[in-house]
Amino acid sequence: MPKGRSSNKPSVLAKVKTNKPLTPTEVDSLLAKGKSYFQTRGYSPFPFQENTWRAYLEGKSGIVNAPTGSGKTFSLVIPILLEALGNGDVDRAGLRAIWISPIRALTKEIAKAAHEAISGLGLAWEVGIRSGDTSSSERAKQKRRPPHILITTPESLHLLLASKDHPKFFGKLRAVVVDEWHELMGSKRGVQMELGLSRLRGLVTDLHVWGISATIGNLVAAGKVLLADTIPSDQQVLIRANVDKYTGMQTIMPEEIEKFPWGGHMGITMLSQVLPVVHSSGSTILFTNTRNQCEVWYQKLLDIDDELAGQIAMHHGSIDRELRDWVEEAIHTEKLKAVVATSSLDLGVDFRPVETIVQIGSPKGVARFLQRAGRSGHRPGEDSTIYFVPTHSLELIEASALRTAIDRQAIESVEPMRNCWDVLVQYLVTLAVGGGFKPEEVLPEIRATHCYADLTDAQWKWCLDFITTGGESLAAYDEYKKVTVKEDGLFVVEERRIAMQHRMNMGTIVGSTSMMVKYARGGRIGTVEEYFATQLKPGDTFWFGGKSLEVVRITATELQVKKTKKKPTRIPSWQGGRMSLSSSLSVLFREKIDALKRGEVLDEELAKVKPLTDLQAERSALPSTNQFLIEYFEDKEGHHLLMYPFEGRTVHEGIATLIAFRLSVYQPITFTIAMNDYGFELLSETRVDLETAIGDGLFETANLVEDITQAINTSEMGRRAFRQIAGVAGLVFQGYPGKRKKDRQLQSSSKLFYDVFMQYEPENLLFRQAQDELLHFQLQEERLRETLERIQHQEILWMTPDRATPFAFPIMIDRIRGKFSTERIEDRVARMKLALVAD
Amino acid sequence: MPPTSKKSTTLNDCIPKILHDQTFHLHPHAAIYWEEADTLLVADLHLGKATHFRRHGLAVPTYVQDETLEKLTGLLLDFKPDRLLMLGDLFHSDYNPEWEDFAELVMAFSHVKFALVPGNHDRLTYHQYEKYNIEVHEEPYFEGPFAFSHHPLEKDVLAEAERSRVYLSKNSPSYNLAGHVHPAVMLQGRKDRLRLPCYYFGEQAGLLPAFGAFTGTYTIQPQKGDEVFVLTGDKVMQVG
Repeated sequence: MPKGRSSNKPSVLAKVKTNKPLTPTEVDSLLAKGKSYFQTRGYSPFPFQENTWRAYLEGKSGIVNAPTGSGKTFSLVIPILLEALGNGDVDRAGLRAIWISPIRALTKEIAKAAHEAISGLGLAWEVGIRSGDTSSSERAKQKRRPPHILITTPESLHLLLASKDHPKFFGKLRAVVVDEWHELMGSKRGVQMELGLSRLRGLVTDLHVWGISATIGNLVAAGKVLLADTIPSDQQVLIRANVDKYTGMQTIMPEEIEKFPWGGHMGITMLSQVLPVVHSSGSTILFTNTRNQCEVWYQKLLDIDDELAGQIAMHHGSIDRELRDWVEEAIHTEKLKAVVATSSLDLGVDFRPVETIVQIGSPKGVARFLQRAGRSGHRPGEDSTIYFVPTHSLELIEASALRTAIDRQAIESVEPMRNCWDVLVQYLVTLAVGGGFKPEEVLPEIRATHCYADLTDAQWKWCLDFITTGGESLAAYDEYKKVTVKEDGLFVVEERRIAMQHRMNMGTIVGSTSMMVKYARGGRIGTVEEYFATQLKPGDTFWFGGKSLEVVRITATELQVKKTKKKPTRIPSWQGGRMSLSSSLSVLFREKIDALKRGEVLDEELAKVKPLTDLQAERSALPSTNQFLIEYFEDKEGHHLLMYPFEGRTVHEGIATLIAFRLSVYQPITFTIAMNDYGFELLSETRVDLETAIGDGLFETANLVEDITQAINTSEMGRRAFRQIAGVAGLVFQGYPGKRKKDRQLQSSSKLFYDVFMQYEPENLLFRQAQDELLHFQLQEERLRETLERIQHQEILWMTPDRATPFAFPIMIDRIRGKFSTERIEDRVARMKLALVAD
Repeated sequence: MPPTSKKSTTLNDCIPKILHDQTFHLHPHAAIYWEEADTLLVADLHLGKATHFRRHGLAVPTYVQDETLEKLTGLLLDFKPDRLLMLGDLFHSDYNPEWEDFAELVMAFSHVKFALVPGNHDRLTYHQYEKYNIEVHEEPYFEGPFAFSHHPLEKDVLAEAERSRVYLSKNSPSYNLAGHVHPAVMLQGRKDRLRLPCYYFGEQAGLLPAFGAFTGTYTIQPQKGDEVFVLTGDKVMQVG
């Protein structure tokens, strides 16, 4: 393509406008206006609010570290409006500010706050909301006549970039605020945000970029990721609200530890002790860890106390949005006694009226626990109590670790993602749909982001090839069609069909195999996973959203039901619910075990669990912080090999796979792998020679990546990781809603793509990304390496108990099992039976 | 290549299955050699799919098809059958140039009769089949005691079709052999599980595994008494 030619038409990516900064006197007088507006409402601003106003008006960008309910919205809405006042910009048309909110539930509240401030400060501005729920007529209206403040999501921002007149639409933009940045940053939506901002900065000079984040371990780094290299560091600020409410934690103790379960995560045995808490409080949120657990607790609460009927509700991510909105509203207006919820209520509207928070089962992380604790309504400086309900005995140790972690403020960091090729190719096609792009113009913008700071020329070329030729050298008759390169070097999507297909796919950053649950007479209830739906037939009954439902018919995309009086036996389960113990808590958990070993019992949780750890010590051993416990025993199931790194299940999945792979070098063998947050089990039909393997370097970190990559390729894990990537990169096409059948010719599973790439195109960046993500995020390579290094310096406690120990038992009963095998398929088949009808 | 010693080594890789006194050799590469009719049977090649996807902006590597054609070439060379009978979903697209790759194979084996019972994905015009002398039979296609089809036939559909035949077969009802399903089964060990593509034979009907490389599988649940043969890659093994 011709470069450096003097162009006679203006580039599509030309900068649109500039602004002159406010003088110090102007800033002071605007601040005074803000304060007097607050005074008319009967408040004076918090110091962090005023500091943010000033920094904003001085032209700075930054991060506001403030929890929900602290007035964080006003810390940024006000200066946006004050600046407009300062520029005399009170009634002209055009978009001025974008407010990104990762969750739709928040948007209404932000809009309300913005409206209030606009009229209070005497501007004639409009506020608009644009999300997946916004009607197409509303969207069209917003395009013709943009609101001054637009509240939207990262996905919707990209959809706006995919329209041809976006340079004009964003032309008068002054500010972007990213709310709940800590929540977005660790995900691909965070990467979308980085890319979206990189483009907006290219379109508009002097853009204010602000993030709002709850407290995380790496706030400064979080600021750098959002603000990128394009803003000089002396123009970046971090403003802390310091209104974090300290939380006292009270564990609801099982009455008799001897009768309390060793494993499981439901915690139903604690029901009768939780009930008095619900009764004695005006309003309560009970946080559970999975949607299935949420359904079960809701049901059991009603079973045990039918007077709660009509007074309690349920809230989780698979329940229809409208029903959830109703629940949120009802909490807000104090109509409900209690809500059983999942992480779907972690963020969102300010539930000021809620008095009591109950956490059922370990929250697995300090940050999550504090976030949930902060959901109850108390004024700054006032202590509140959050109740912790253990679901099995060893969670008492987690409770103790959690308390220590809060004391030490050991809050987890959120790690931003890097090198997400799927998001990048999606973004490039988005730009190609939205009027086209020139590589030499967008490349510097992309390289200025944290995610793609190390983008090499070769990787960049691969991405461009991928969207233009499908990543292959052009075959003679290849008809690959997506992005075309015009004579002047502009990359564009010319076919309307491709553009439409791309827009449809953009929303699907989370792959969905979910099916809609609907009343046969109409009315949505929510979604269940396809896997659950396939187990049902008409006439079957199940609990969902607190209702007892009977299946009427099952279509390709819908589960049609009616209400029933029958008592159902099934409750749907959803995948991906279980969180892994964070590294902050893992360290403390090992310290607590050490304390128990030394007989040093400092709090009531450890005192309570002591009989159980004594039994563990009697049957096997308790490891001190410089010991590594391995247990081995044989029973009718086979040979059980258990190891206890106490590092959380994701790290254990990696180590277990690695160890299985390294042990399989000695003989062809099949392992089934189970794990929990404390350790993992390798179960085999033949004995493994562990002593030799340890002598040969079983726990060495040399060749870690090579070994684990090989291990992954022989397991299902790689395929799972690839699924999302294929969806984002536009490799799999879900079909247009309601028109699935027509596009059957184009349907294919991501699994098939994975196999095809592994065989024919192992150098494909998307395929490699799947492996990198797996290593980095799922198996947490860094933690894995640290763990192995730790084990190498530990004394090995090799125990051979005659049966399962308290540590082993919960792992052994886990139903979710992985598999690792190096035996020939034929040998394995010879040992197996056909699974006949009904699994 | 010497014309003698036809198929003997290849047959050793197969497991014979007797249906209505005829011998069907089940090959590890998802093809059946029907000895009495000197016919090779395959189903669900799904050729042309890669290009079809690429045309719509989905970047599948094009050489996926090569493997399917190579595998087919190998089987035709080994068995030297008189005929190749394809049970549908031969070409997963409307016309695209991948069809000409297949046509080359058809012309290279000019002594082999090619026959197709079209499936739901076969959208090519009949002109394309005529051009290369590929016989087309609507389903169900009756031959001897067998009814060949792409879709597995419901009992009453099959019975209805049999009634409308000019000559009633003495073997009525015919045994149905079909494709379409891409069958696989789940095998269960003590703690081990494995999902493998398979041949399936029930009392009245059998299914062939998908032949094409770029195809998925669907897990079927056999009933007691059914016969199932799984493909392990190099071997066929009976598991039920």
